[in-house]
Amino acid sequence: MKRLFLLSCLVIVSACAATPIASYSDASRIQALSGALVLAPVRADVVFVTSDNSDRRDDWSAQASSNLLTALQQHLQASGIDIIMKTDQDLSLPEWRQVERLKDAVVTAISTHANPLTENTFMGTLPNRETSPARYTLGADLAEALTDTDAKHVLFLTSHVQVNSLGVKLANAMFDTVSGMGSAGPTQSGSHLVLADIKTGDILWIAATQEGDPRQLEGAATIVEAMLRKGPLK
Amino acid sequence: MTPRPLLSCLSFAAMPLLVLTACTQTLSLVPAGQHHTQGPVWVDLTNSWSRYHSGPAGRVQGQVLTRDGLTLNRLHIATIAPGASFVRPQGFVQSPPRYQIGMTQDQIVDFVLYSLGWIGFTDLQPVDLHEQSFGDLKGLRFGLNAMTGAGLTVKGDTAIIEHAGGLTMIVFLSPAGYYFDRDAKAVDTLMNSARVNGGQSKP
Repeated sequence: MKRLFLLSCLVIVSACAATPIASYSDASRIQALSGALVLAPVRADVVFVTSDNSDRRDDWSAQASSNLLTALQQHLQASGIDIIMKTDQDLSLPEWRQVERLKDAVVTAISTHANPLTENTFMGTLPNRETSPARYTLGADLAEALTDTDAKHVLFLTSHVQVNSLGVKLANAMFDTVSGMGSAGPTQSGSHLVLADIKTGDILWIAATQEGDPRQLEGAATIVEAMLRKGPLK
Repeated sequence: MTPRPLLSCLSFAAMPLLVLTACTQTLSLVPAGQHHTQGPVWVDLTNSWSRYHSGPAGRVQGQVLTRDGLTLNRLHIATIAPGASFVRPQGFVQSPPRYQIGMTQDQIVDFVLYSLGWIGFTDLQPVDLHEQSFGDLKGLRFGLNAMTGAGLTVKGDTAIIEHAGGLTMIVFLSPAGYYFDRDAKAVDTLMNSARVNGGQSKP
């Protein structure tokens, strides 16, 4: 009975987690995107998971970051969008890391509660925001951290990948068989793009996908294509 | 059919319902105005909030409210009975900190800080600690500086009222940038308005 209860809990969590944000857009705030676009340092985090341990793999993470950056650059340039690359050396201030962490917090809040396009949310929309909507924003900190640019917008790309060991893969396959739910496969990834207005800090657009393995350039291209398929940067 | 298999079948049959319940019936609107909370406590809200009924609300005592999502702002309003903890014990190896009658002011502040540490905040520092009256009751008020587990700097505001029914703690936490500043004044009003109905001083 205890196993059944645990299985029920897993099913509930999986079912809720299986409806992530696909796209968020504050359409009223997206004006014509003109001028160059600041491209923030791409963040990719790859973790190798075994049955009794998880290990962050910096070599895989660096490869994934590089692949995603290449794929994103290629796509934006093909779309005729000028980009201003920012590296970690350009943005070494602790304030910038806080901006990135706030961006992650906003993405989590949106993916949990606010997705006007798909209406798929982890815990349902927030009732108070339905009656008095407020903007999701990074505030003035974004402009303060990006002082040396005339660009109006900044784009963030973040990716998290979990690579499962053979044992974990087998355990997942058994769970999938019992639960009847789709398998996450040998890797589980989640990537998101965030477009923000530098002057106001407002989040204008978010796209997310669970496709692709960015450790290979083809996988990174799949991720970028999936996120840019719709939205203002296609 | 023996009771055990029957229960198993019922559990499987109830799964879709459980999934739906877990995914949809988790939030309710808390409109602006006087808000009566669990137990005898009430506060004045100048904005509308959303209240969690599961998820984060299952991990701690009292009510959990937010305006934009838990990672951007959270308001805990809880009354802790003597001997109880703010964090609901969930098979932890260690027991979460417990409130005891007779705690000193410093011990109460530590109780609050350690309790918040149990729900994922680090580097917790109280600021501007001072005594404050809440109606007829004496209490404590202090700000907070802290970090989330992900390294995001957050700030907070806290009101503590000790009374015959236990320890009421009202805690607001939000990222230090835009979000805390936006709500600081409304939260200050909320904290100052806190009252314990029929509140008697602690014995």
